[in-house]
Amino acid sequence: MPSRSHPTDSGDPIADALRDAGPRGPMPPLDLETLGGPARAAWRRRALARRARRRRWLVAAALVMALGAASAVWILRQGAPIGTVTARAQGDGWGGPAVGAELAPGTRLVTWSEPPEGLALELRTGHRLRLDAGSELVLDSARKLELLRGAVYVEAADAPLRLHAAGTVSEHVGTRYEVRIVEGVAAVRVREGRVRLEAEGQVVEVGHGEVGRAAADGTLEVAPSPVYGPSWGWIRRAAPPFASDGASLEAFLQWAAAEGGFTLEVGPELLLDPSGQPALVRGSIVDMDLDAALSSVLAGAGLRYEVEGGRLRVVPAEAP
Amino acid sequence: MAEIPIHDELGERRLLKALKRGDDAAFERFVAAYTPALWRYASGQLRGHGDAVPDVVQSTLAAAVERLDGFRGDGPLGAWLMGICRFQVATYWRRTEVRRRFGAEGEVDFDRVPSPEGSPSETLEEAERRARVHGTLDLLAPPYGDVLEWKYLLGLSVREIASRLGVSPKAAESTLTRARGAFRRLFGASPTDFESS
Repeated sequence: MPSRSHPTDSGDPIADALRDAGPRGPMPPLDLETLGGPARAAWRRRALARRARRRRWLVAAALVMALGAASAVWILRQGAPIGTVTARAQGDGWGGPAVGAELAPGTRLVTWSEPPEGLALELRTGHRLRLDAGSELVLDSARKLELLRGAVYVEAADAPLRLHAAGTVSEHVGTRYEVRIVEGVAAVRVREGRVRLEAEGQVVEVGHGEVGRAAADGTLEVAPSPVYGPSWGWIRRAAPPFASDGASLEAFLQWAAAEGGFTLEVGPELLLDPSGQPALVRGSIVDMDLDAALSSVLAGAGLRYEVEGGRLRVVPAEAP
Repeated sequence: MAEIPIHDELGERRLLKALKRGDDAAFERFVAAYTPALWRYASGQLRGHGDAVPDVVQSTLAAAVERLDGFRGDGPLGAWLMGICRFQVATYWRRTEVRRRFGAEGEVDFDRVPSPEGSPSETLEEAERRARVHGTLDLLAPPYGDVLEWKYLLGLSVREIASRLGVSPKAAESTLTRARGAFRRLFGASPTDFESS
């Protein structure tokens, strides 16, 4: 073996390197399982870290995509209409939107008191609204409205709706209700379902046949209130027309009961024609008030109606 | 994953790519392919301290896995591993020296490696070079390592090598040339050693 302190120099570096190093000894049997043990543990840690990194990236990517999609929807909706006018009761100088007009976010709807105007609209969220004469309503969005004066009647759909009025916020829980501002105080009358009324940190729930409002001392109070009667008559003024011709008698009666705030009482046999099929309404009820529409339609079916204690009872014409 | 031949540059690149991708089969191949060479490299530098060889090899492989993402593949994977192993060996010697200094074993000459009884001691640099040559021979695809040893240590002629390989002298000559090229590439951690060849 060449001296290690005096490397060989044959002019061939590979030959010199091998000669300086000398022969390899025999390779002992190696336990790869043991020798690779710590590396295997590091490998597993690395795999876990990679998976965690990938998960973080996926979550981040999903968030970015969701944010992008939400932003796109938001941007697109900024200019998109949030509702449509479905009916109006106009005065001589009506300058408001026509039936079928689309309403953009931020639209301010105003109805005059004299002659009394009214307006019905349906929001993209499915909520149907009617605006009393002398009212002013701002459509912030399809889910947020602000009543500045007058009254609005809400037939709520499933979507949430926050209705701001004179420092209060009303949120329905499946309901039909009216919010009216009288002398700067908001009052919520509920015909069906419940409304969550909120003002200055207080919350009350106003139920069927109740009115909720802020008392003089600022507290919210709830009192009984009828769900029918003349005070509700205004909502008929701008009601969307009911397509009566060809509608079933049952559908008409349900509509009439809902419009009047009544509970419908009618025997099922009265809703059938002589052949046993569902009775149909013939003719239009346009320009008729609720009484006239009921009288006209029921007379044609050999029926009449009575209103008593909030019940709309339908009976045969010849009944006592 | 199919077994990756790693004894050339392309094979190494494929193995490295698979490792970085997290391929478990590639990891096992990596351990199986490089552990013998690392063992030879470590044991060559740890003469008289054979008990430390398994620890050094284990630490080297583990450190390599931990640093895998930082290795770009600019040089041979084997040379990179030997670099890590050299660091592990140096760490071992430093700790040994500290133990000796503060223990009962007295002062040592840290610049010289202990050698077996009757052998001259050698410097760390000499030991490292010898170990690297042996480790590199182990990394070569068979029969390149043997062919180089037959030629330069045993002094066999090309005809004798051909006889051992069972091939023609021309094929043996070609094998020897390829073996030299492979050795040069893998030993390339110090490429200047072979610039003239």
